[in-house]
Amino acid sequence: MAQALIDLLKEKLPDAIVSSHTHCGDEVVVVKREQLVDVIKLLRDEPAADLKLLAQIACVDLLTFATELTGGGSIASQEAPAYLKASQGPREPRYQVAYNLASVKKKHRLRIRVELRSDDCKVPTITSLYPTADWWERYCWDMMGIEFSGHPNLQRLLMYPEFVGHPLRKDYPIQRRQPLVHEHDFPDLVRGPGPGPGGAGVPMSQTHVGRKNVDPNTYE
Amino acid sequence: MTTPVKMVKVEVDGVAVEADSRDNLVEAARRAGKAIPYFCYHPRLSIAGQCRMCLVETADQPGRLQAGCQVKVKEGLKILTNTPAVKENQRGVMEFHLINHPVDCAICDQSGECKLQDYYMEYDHQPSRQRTYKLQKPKREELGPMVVYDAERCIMCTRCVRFMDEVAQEPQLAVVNRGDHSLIATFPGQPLDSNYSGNTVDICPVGALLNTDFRFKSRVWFVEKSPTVCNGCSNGCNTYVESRGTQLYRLLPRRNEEVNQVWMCDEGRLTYHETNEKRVEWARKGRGEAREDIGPALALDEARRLLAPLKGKPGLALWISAQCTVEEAQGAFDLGAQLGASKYLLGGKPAGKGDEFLVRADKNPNRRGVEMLAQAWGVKLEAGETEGALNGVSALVAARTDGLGLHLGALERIEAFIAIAQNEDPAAQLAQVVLPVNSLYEAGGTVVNYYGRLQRSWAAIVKPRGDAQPGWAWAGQLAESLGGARAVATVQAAFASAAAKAAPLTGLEFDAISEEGRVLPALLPTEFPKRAPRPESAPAAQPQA
Amino acid sequence: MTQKTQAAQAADTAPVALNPDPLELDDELPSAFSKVKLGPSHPATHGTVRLNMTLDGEKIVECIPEIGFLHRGFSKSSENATWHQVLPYTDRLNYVSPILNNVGYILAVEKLIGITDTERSKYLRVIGGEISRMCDHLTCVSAIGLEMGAMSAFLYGVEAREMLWDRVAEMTGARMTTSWTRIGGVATDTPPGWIERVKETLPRVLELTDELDKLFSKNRIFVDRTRGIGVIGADEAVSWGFTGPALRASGVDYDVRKAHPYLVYDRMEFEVPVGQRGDTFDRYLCRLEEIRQSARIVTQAIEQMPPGPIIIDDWRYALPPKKDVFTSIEGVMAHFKLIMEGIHVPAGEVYGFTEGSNGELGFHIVSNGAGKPYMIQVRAPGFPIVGALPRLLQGHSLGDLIPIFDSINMIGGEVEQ
Repeated sequence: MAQALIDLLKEKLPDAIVSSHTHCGDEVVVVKREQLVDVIKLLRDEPAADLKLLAQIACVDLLTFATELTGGGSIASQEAPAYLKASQGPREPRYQVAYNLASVKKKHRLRIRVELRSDDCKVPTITSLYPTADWWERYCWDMMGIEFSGHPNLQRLLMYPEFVGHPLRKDYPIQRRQPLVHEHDFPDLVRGPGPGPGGAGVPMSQTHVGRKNVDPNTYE
Repeated sequence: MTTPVKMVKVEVDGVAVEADSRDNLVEAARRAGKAIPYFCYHPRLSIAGQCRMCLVETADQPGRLQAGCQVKVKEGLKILTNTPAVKENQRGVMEFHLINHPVDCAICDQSGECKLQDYYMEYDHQPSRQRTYKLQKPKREELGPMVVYDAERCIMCTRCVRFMDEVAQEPQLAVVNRGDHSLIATFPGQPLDSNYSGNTVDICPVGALLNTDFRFKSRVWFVEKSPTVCNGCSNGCNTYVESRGTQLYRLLPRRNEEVNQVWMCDEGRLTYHETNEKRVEWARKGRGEAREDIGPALALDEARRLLAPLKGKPGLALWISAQCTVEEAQGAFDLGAQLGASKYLLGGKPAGKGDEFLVRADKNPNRRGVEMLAQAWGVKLEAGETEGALNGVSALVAARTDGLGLHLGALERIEAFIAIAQNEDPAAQLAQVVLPVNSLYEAGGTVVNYYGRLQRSWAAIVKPRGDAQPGWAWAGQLAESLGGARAVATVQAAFASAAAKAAPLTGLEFDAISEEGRVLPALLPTEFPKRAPRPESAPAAQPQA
Repeated sequence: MTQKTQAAQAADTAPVALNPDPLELDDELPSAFSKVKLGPSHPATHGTVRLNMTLDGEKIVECIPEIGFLHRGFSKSSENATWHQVLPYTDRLNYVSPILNNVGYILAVEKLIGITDTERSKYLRVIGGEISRMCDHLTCVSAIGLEMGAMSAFLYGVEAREMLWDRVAEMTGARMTTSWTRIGGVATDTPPGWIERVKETLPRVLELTDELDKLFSKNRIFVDRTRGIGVIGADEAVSWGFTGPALRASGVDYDVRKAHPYLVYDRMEFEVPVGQRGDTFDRYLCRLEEIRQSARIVTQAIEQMPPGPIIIDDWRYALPPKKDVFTSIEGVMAHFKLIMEGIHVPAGEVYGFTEGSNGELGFHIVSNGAGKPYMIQVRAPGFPIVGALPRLLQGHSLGDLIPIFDSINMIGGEVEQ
């Protein structure tokens, strides 16, 4: 039933479409990145389409799609070994951004997909079309490092600001450690400013009564 | 030398592909990316046609199933691998093979790499229809020193028999009895003691033939495979080493058509024990009662303290084992130059027996490499196994201690003996300073085999074992502490410094060395070992089964 | 009171002004906005979220929600576990209605494989899911009251929830960490006597729901604090990605169970409560009414459920019975490969969605044919709603924050995965 949506796109914006297919009942249209905003605007505003609900913006990293080994119960087969990855070049296009759109009135859905190369992972933002895209795009940026050009506030959403890297990328190993974040000092609101325990400038770990002489590096 | 190969056009499930005219249907399908299952077929062995798993249909004879391993392609042949008849045959053949198969998965080593398991999930996945008992046959029979046989699991594919007949050329196995009482057996009084018996374990598709050395040590999905090169002899068979944590579990042959095809010898399979057992773990100083583990920094200080006054003096010798990798040897020669060593000795494991197939008499992987570097450094290498080689030596730095066991008396008299040692052998016990070194399987490195082929080993174990470091790291740090240039920090840099020095390695980069290795034309041998004529096999493009 | 001269009395009553211009009296006192952080651990907010608020007195000028405190790496962890090993991770997404998460995930995986489960399993999944939904709505409704100070009403809701959790624990083995569905079916069938116990539990739960209704819906304080608060219109709610009770409260009749029926929801008779104003009160009322409708569904499902197997008989996906595992080679091989290697899901990408308790729960799953997922990203229904929090809180005061925040039922587990 979403075939009608694909036909609508083919009629109105034929050169935006790269390909389209159906898989397991989902219709997917791969569009060119430059015309993404036009495509989605059309799908949102055209009364026959009425795809006013942006359900999700998902991002996929296809780096190890061909080499990720099977089996999850074993310790060894988590990542393709380094020599295997080195012998195969990076898979391009590496990233896919999928926009899952739905219509609450017409009850049809469509997925729009944009494919990005690893050296050029920028997509125009659609926050002007859907206010909810704000957080979805921030999630994709945080997790996979896909830049959304024109986003009003492209900051990390789930991870803390000092986090290094983009965790859902396939070359981010699960055992990677992050640099320790130092404790932010902020003034003691209870005891107020001043010298001595609990005064401003003393880290919170030292302000608890009774911890005056404790080595801050112990874990007790 | 070879006549041009005739190619024919065939279609596999509608996909057009060009196949070699000598291909059978299984290989033609492999070219098209389709997998036809088989048990008894092996690209490097003769055809048995026993398992009936590879039966497919061809469009010119619809309804008639043909054995994919036996039938050769011809021009315009259309192969069909997923018709209902083929699928029913695959299901039925699996059912037949499993009728008498014991319920052993939980205790069978082959779990995780078993063809029966894989093909069952792929082609059968039906419950058993059997309502009667399974046959009982001999289990865990020791056919030889390395191979144990379980007759109940055997599907009588006869790959092992054909291998021993054709490839190893020692026909020690045979099929005995008839019908479903058949077994694989050795001749009475003649165990399976060929040096290539371990390969029957590799090619056995089920858990009937198992490696006694590896049996029950680990499950296969817990271990990680890394490509490496066997250090058992100068043939340099390509292998995979399977490791977990700091332990190695087994060696498997890795495909290299020009070196070892897909085979390796039993002695080579056992070489991983040296990496696991009796290792020098901690950097130490002192001999006998005065022995003390002092850690790498202090050990280097002690070594420097012992060696600095002897720099340039006669009597300072450098012992380089032919077990060292190219990078280790380069570091050792550099250290020797820094020390002004007067004598360079080439050590190594003592020579053994070679044969016409894969085993060389020289039991060291890198003699050619060390000799190449000696020539590049303009140094004369003396043979370390001659008696009295250590006469007149008052200080010795040993890059690996192989072969020093012949000179224990001389070693006792040496007051400044620094050993970069891997195992606790009698020579390492006599050193004043022992610096523990990684084995070839643990750290990466390159070796040059008897043929002049430069081959690369990837590091298998990344967790450090005690204080162990690669040999080039120790040599570099020692040279640096004696006033030399800054030590290199990566194996790539160590190789680059060797490539800068040795003419055959010019222009090569460590990371660019592929898994096949490369022959260094300057090092091709002038005389070759005599080989028996090998049976004609299909083109080299065929992958390992 | 002493007698004062008329002039002094006039001076007493004359207004004191800094500026004699009377219009300036109505000016607000110049004061700086105060920045207050609410959370991440605050007794009145569900889930760990920090609200960075800029307050002008009591009025909220700006509110920036900061999430991520409960991010546990669900997507990354699921890439290193087999398809079934991901199930316990899904329990912990919306931890108040875990069976709905299990069902949502497994339906998405089954969609990618292209199989369906057995008849009985479909009904069981509906029953388990609706009981979970009731638990979630009971939690939310009671908590709205609790955080406004009505603790005893909360306890009524919790009593109802406890009874339902007892039923869930009897069937699945756990109250919260159910991990109950499997590819091709469910893990456990109803224990003996369970249906009868459910038939006894449901009326009591409905009684308690009616108690909650009576205590809240006409309570002056409750109504004053929730009516007209946090209003969002239908079109705007859709553009902000709302689904579920929050969207239906704004007047949009969209429920995945009716719009894209799955399992056996098309055979059930139930209504979808739709609100009118899109305020906090409507969101509360929608949830309350949905409890009753869920109870209706459970009753019908129990009646209609046929006997039969609870999981399909295909050993590529479902574990063989233990009798076969221990006595036949086929059984042990199938068991072995399924556990160690994982089920082979054909390569592809799918977005499978169901009606979670807060809205459309979607799983965007990519498989590369291996025994473990290549990528799973959860479309948590609460995620866009929490993102719309600044919009909902516009123009409201600090006292309105808590009812609004509770009515959207942010569950940290699903929003932050």
